[in-house]
Parts: sequence; structure tokens; C-alpha cells
Amino acid sequence: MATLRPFDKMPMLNAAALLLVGTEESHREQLASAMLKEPKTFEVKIHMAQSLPLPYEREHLRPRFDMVVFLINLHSQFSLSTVLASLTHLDVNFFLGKVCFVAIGGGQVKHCMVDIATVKKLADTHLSTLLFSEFDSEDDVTCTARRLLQMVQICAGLVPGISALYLGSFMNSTLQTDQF
Amino acid sequence: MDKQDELLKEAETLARYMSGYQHELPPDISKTSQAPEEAREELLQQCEEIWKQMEECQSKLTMSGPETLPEMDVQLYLLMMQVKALTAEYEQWQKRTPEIISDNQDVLLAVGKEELDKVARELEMVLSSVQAKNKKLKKDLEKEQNWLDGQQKLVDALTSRQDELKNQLSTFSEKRVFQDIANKLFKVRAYKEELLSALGDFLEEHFPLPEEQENQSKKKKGQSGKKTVPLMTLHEILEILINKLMTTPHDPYIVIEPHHWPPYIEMLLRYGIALRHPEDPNRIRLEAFHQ
Amino acid sequence: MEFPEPLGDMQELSRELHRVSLLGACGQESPEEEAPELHLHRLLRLREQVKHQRLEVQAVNEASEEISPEALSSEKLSEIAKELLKDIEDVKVSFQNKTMVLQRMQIVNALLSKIQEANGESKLIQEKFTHILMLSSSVMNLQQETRDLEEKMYDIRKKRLVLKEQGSAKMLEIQTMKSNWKANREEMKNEKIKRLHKVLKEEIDSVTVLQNVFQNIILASHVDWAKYPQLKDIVLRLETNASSFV
Repeated sequence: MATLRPFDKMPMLNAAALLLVGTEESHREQLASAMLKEPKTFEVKIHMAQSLPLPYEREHLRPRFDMVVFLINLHSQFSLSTVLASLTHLDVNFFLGKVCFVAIGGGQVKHCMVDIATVKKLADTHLSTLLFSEFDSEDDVTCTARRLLQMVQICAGLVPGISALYLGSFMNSTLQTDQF
Repeated sequence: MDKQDELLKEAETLARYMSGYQHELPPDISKTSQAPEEAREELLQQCEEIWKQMEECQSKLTMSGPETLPEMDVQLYLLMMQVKALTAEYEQWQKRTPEIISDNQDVLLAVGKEELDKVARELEMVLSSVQAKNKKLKKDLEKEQNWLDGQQKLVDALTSRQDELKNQLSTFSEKRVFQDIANKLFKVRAYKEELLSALGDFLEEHFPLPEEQENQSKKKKGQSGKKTVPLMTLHEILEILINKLMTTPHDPYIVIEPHHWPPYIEMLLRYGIALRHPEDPNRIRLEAFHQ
Repeated sequence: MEFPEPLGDMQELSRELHRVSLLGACGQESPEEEAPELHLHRLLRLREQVKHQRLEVQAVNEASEEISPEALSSEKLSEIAKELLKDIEDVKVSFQNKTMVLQRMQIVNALLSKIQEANGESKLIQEKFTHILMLSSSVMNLQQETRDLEEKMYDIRKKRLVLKEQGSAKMLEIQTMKSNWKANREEMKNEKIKRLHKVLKEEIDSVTVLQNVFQNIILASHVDWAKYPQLKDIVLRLETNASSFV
């Protein structure tokens, strides 16, 4: 049972590593393949897990994670509680801009088991960015993938002069992450 | 046939364009110099140096244990962390001093050439976009000019139509009607004059005033005390009656006075030319022939 | 213009040729093996990235040694964070500006000293400079043309606006003229012409009265009017209705 830390290893040259955490395997796969499909100037390594902590045995095979993305299926209370439990296995330094929540399925209100206000509060409390996405729309997934790629590029320190610190949720009013 | 001609023309233009452009082809400077092995070596060394420094720093980091979220006041705690992190980053930036690219001429030259290429590329892009913009502007200008001409023509047409209407309104309707009435008025007045003079002549001839002698004798009588009044001609009496009827049709009566010679008044009444007032026998009026 | 095949194909090809000729101007073909300079650029870019990553790690290190600020409210902390961000931005911009000036100087210096070597490569660089100068002067000329064209466009649009207003004003005038046409005619009858008609009627009335008076006077005079041709003529005409003149 290891706590996941940023900066625990050396970075890779011109590459970023991303960890997708969420109960829905299909969501993780969809998002990962969308991100890999996007053209980009750097390499991106995507690891996936249903929940944290990650098993200890494979620790030496893992890269330095630059960003952790939590996928919350709004149609499942279980999805939210898994994410909540996983948060305690993250080093606090991740919450300085290297965590992002993606709430999925908010468009179909009648299927929602999780209140949108709850996820908003969650992201707010953890000073992290919250994205909304509908995974039945390919455009939406692509859009989310692009946004995450921009963020992970910054988190990995690949954009000289801009650090992950500026990505925290409190930045939303002063700086639009879109412009990166 | 037309289309083939057009295509031929296009091909010609293209050929001209290409040969024209060849002279202006910018020189390719990025692949000319020999492999600056030394320069690369230097840069690699610098990178390794930085990497090593980062490694040192990073190993220090691994010494301290991980830190997980507190049970309570997560947001406040994270905000505090954030302030600490930002303060540290601020200090890092403050420590930085302007950095030179390299001391190596080859590196500098390579960067310089890239800059030049970039500037040239950007300029070409600007050039072609401005060209395209101007071309579009010219086209639009032509369109606008055509529209302007069309509008001018329309306004001109409207102006002449308006003038035409004005003329029609003033000449056609007004003048015509006026002319028409004026003509009739002229004819009626001419006939009236004719009638008046004929009537005047007739009256003078057939209805003279009572004999001069009578007048003389009356004068003599007058001299002897009896008052005489100069009598009115029948013509004058008729004139007064007619005027009274025409100008004040609501009150056409005149009062019979001494200078109205009674036989004439009698005759007018008898022949239905004049009528007596139904209540006042002293007043008469002309028969309203026109009603 | 669009042509049917195979003319369309030919047109397509000529377009492609055109595109290639333009592309050639920039000399942007991706070579199989990287040119040495490209390698240098990549190294330079990597160096910048690594430098930034080093700065981040250093900052995290510093932060862990930073003493925690005294207990403050979250509002206050957010405010401080925003303040710090602004400060970082200022320091960063100033650093980047200074670095840029320094590096520009270095680059220009290197290029100028290369030109002075007066060999084949320096000649190429010189030509590149000339090319850039030529490009920028054409850009400036074209931009002047753009401004002139835009001014002309503005003038024409202004004129068009004026004409448009004139046109619609005229349309309106014509419309009112037309709709006033009949009303006007009625009005004219009611006003001036009515007055004239009244005068005419008065004249006709007085002629009628005169005619009747004359007739009766002749009767009263017992004159045998048929004997006098002039009088006969008048008497016969007395029979005609005066209103027949109208």
C-alpha cells in the first residue's frame, strides 16, 4: 500500500505520464485511445487503474506520474465513493495542479445518481479542475482528451515557463487553461 | 472549346507564375553547414549538467516521506500548501538571471538561421494573406461600385419619375381645369356684355324718361314751391333691382322712392318682371328668374 | 470554375503544381535524416524543458522547507496566492524580456560575423536577409494598398448609404405624391376651382336674369321685334339657356 507521489522519479525526456483512475473500464479506454489518437509534439504514457492504491509489486515499472485524472460516472454512486477512497492514497503535492476530475454523463439528468453540486464541491475542496463530458459523444471525448493533453503537457514541465501550480481550480477566474 | 481555352490560359499563367517565382525563391540556408559535432556535444553536456542537478534535488525529495490529505479542513490545508509552493516558485524565478544561448558560434548560427527562416516564413504567410485580402477587397470594391452605380441609376430614375409626376400634377390637372373654366367664363361674360349693351340701347330707345317739357313744367311748378326730384331711368331701376337680387339674394327688396317713376314700377309689376313684397306694398323685388 | 473530367483532373493537377511551387518557396520538405541544425534545435528545446523541470523540482524542494504561514482564513490564503501568481508573472516577464534581448544580440552578432567571413554560406545568409527585406517591403506596400482599398470601400459604402436614404426618401415622396394626387384634385375642385365655378355660376345666373328681364321688357314695350333683324337676332338668342355655355 504505497502513497502515490509526484516527483518520486526522474521525468522522461519530452514525455508525459498520466494515470486514469475510474470504475468504468470503457470510459478509461475511450478516453485513453482518444488521447493517443490526438496529434501532439510530445510522447504521452497512459496508465489506468480502477482505484488507488496501485499494487506495490509493479512499482518499479511505473513512470513518474505527472497528472492523475479521476473519472466519475455520475450514474453510479459507487464510482464516486471509489474515487473518494482513492484520494487518500495520493500525496498532497498532487493537488497543486496535478489532479483533474472528469464528471461523465451529467447530460442525462434522470439517470444521475450523483449530484453535480457534489462533484463541484469535491473539485473545489481539492483545488482541482473539473471537466464535464458526455462519453456517448465522440466529439465530447475528443474535446476532453485535448484538454487533458494540454494540462498534462504543463504538468510534466514540457512548457517552459508554465508550471502545474497555475492549473489549480482557483485559477479559473484569473487564467483560462484553454489558452495554453 | 471555351473551357479548353480557359484551361490553356490557366496553365500559361501557372507557368509564368512558377518561372517568375523561381527568381524570388529564398535561399535555403538550413542545410549548408557541416555537422557541428562540437556544438552538439556542448549542448548535450549542458543538458546532462542540468539533469544531474535535477537528480540531486529529486533524491532529496525522496528522503522525506509522503504526505496524505488531512482528515479535516482539506481545502484550507491545500491552500496553505499552495501558498508555500507559489512562494517557493516565486523565489526560484527571482533567482534566475538572463541566460545566453551558448558560447558556441555554431549553435548561435543555427538558432540565427532558424530565426531568419521563421521570419521569412511568417512574412510569406503575411504576404500571401495580404495579397488574398487585397484581391478580395478589389473584388468586393468592384461589386460595391456596381451596386453604387445601380443605386445611382435607381435614384436618377426615381428623380425623373418624381419630376414627371410633379409636371403632371401641376400642368395636367390644374391648368386644364382652370383653362376650361376661364374659357367658359370669358364666353359668358362676353354674352353678358352684349346683352347689357343691347338692353341699354333698347331701353334708351323705347323707355325714355318722361318728356323734358313735363320736366320743365315740373321745374316751374317746383319753382313755385313744389319739390321735384330728378327721376331715375328705367335702365337704372333695373340695374339696382338686378344688383340687389344678385348680391343679396336673401334680401332682394328695394323701397319705392319718389324718384322711381310710378308708371315704370307699374309696368315692371304687370309684366312679371318685379314682385311686390307680400306685407309691405312699398317694397319690390326682381323676379328670381334664375331659380 | 469547374470542369468535367478529364479536364477537371487536369485542373486539379495544375492546382497541385501551383501549391507545390508555393511550398517550394519555403523549402519545407521533411528530410529522411535530420539536418545537423535540426538536431541542435531539438537539443536546445530539450535543454529548455529540462531547465524548467529542474526549476520545478527545486521549487518543490524549497517549498517543503518553507515554514507554514500562520493560520489564516481560506479567503486570505486565496488572496495571497493570487498576489503571488501576479508577482511570479511579473518576474517571469521581466526575465524573459531580458533573456530575449540578450539572445537576439547574440544571434545577430553571430549572423553578422558569419556574413563577414564572405564565403558561400555567408552569401546565402546575406541573400536571406535581402529576401526578408524584399518581403517586408512588399508586405508594407500591399498593406498600404489594403488601407487605400479599405478607404475607397468606406467611401463607396458611405455614398451607397446616402443614396439608399435618398432612394427611399424619393420613393416615399413619390408615394405621397401619388396618394395625394386624387385628394389634391378633389381639393383643387373644392378650393380654387370651386371658387371659379362659383364665379361662373353667378355670371350664368345674372345672364339668365338679364335674358328674362330683357324678354319681358320687350313684351312690355309692345315692339314688334320681328321687324328689326338685329333685335330679332337678340330675341332668338334669349331663348337659349345660359347654362348651355358650360
